[in-house]
Amino acid sequence: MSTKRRNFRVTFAVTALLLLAVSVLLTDVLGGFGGARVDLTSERLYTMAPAAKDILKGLKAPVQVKLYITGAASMPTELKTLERDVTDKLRDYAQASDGMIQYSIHDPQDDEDLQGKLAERGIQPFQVQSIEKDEIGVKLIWSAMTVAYKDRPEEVLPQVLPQSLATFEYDLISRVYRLTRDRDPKVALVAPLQEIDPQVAMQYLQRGMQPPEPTDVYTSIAQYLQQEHYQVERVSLTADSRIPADADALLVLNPSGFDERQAFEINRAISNGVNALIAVQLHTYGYQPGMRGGFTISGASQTSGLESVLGAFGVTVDTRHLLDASHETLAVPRTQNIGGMRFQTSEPVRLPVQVKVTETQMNQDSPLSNRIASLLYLWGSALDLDAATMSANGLTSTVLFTGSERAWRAPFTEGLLPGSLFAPEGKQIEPRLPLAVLLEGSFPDAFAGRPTPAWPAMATDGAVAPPAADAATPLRAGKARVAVVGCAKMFDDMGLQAGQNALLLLNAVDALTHGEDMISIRSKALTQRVIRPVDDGEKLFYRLFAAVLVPVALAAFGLLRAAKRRKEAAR
Amino acid sequence: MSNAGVIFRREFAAYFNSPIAYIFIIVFLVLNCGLFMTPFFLAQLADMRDFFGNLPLFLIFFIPAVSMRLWAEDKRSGTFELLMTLPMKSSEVMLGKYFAAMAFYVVALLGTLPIPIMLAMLGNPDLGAVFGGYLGALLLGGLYMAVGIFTSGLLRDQISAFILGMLACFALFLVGVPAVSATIDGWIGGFGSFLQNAFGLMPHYQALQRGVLELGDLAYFLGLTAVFLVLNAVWLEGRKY
Repeated sequence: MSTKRRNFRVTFAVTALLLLAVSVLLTDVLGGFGGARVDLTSERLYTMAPAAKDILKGLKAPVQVKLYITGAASMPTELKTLERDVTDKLRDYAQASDGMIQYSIHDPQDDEDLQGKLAERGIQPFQVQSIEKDEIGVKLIWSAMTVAYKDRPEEVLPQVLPQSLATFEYDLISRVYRLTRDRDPKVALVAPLQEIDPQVAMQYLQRGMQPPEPTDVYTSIAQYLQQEHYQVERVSLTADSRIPADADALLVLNPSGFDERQAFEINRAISNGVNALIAVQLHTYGYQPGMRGGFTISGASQTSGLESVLGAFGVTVDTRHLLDASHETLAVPRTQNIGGMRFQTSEPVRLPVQVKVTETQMNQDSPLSNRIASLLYLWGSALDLDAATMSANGLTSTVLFTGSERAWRAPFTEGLLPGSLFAPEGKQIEPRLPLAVLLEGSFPDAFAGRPTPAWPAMATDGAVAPPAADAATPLRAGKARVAVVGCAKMFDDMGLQAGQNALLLLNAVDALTHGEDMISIRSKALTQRVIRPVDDGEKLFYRLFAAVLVPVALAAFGLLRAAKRRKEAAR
Repeated sequence: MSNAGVIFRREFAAYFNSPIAYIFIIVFLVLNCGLFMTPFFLAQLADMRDFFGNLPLFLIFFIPAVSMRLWAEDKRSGTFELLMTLPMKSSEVMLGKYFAAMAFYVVALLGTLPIPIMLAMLGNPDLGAVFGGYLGALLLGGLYMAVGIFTSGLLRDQISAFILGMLACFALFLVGVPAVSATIDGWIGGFGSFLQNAFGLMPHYQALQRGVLELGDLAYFLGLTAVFLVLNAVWLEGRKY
């Protein structure tokens, strides 16, 4: 090899190393400019929400944020950048709050005093997986955060991990928001217990056994709300258990056969300016296993007792069956007897009464619904909105979500339902039937000009107790917001597990208690965009369109071009 | 730069004068779009995260296959010396070839546009994130192509250039994978993390894929692409010795 060539190779290697070093340095320096970024997502998912900025700007006293984290050198590789990532975010929040967010970083790894103090505050190290010298092990690390404001009890984020950074903004800002308000908002929950089926109760009695107690199918709601630092007070809506005077919001779920006084109490609270969510369930369906497979379906209906109140607001929950081509599959249990052995299995059942509400059916202009991708609207009803009544009462309405383009209704029939009910053929298709509506304004008193209904007499030990003392809350008209939904099953313990039903509930309660700011922060991380329901023919079309159309067109173009070139060459 | 334009037109036309280009693009589209469409109606999500998520691995094979012939073919057929004696700088020849190969890749990428169109017809995709994904795919392809043209310039044999290019791209991909850098860290403390931060492409690509455009990520792709192109030009100049 010539000297020149050898020299060139050395020069080349040095140049390569230098260029790589410059490139790495440039990336590092430019990457450090926190502000030099563009968030292309349509909802600005990776940018601080305007609502978060407003909350931070509104801080009147410093908020102390302390990050307790193991130093990068002792962290497993995948967590080495965690401290930097969290600090970057905290720096943004400090800037947005004009210095009212004051943060500090502490490493408790080798500080036993600090470890002891943290343990007293419920902060513990936790185990994470690490790989060292081809062996998978576990490391005990610290990564927690505390948020303190004035003399309020400190809020703790017990684990801060890369996967929790997606919700970090909500986790921190919601805590700051909670700390800086005077008290946790109070939600009054009116949700009756589920009575046992009369036929089942009769079977118990025939066997000389006491039927089971009514079950509570709305236990999850309280848990969800308490996690979000709401005070939840369960109200039976009797003379002894009324809507608390200091309730910030009222949730009325599955009102069933409410008497006049109960309807009056709800109406009075709303007229007095208490925001409310009213979810009405008029229908339930039974799935009885058929002898030859499949299920026979029976329907049962109930009244809410709130018809006149809702009617005065301009909303009627339709009593007909609601069926929709957009529907969900449910796993329905079936007991099978094989060789004398009984097995419990579950079978998928798709029925148009198991309505699925998708993203395209959500009102994209309402913060309550615009980031919800899907809901299970189980056995719900459509709403009829009377614009004239609303207008006469000065109420404004916003439909939150609707049925699909292919929904239909049929007169309700009790008992066994004919299979023809579930087929859209021959039915009048009603696109975009309203399923939930938000009303705003000063709500009328549906009982105006009538005496206050008395509490019903209570039967006790065979004797009828006299009606309780009547002390109705005086009417003091105030503006309120009322969300009406034609389905309560979507909020029971099972319903909240389906789709994003829980997110809708939290959004609604947030909006009813302290405006819509927190919704826009929380739902940033929960966005999931789903496609509309597609039939088999469409699926085939789109498969061909997306995966086959261009390759075929390109092959045809190539063949034509080759033929043309061949012809030109021959000429 | 008009010299580079002449080379660009010659090279770009050359791609479509042979059936190989069509086969390349068709295979690229059928595999990528087919893979995306297989679970699409099961997941029912109106986004392209899976599509862009598969791309870094898929392009490790596709781009070196496109770039392997850029110099190696000329060296094998003897046109390399002719090219080097043309009254133009070797960097101009290199840029013409590079952008022709990139244009070919862009054509292949444009062939995937029916996917976002389909998503818009079926739902409400986040077009910002889709755009970010395409930008990421473009920058990623640009970097792989720069690595590919560099390795093609080092070797005379196309297959060797393909394998070397593939290995180099795979290395850039691998050092950005946390499990790999953790393993390296286990052996040489902090070295895996250093490699991941300095050269790993996945953290930078994933940010673009999410729809976030950061100066550091753009600097990573454009900087490394420029480095490999400059090295390629320097190496070509060195062949005069």
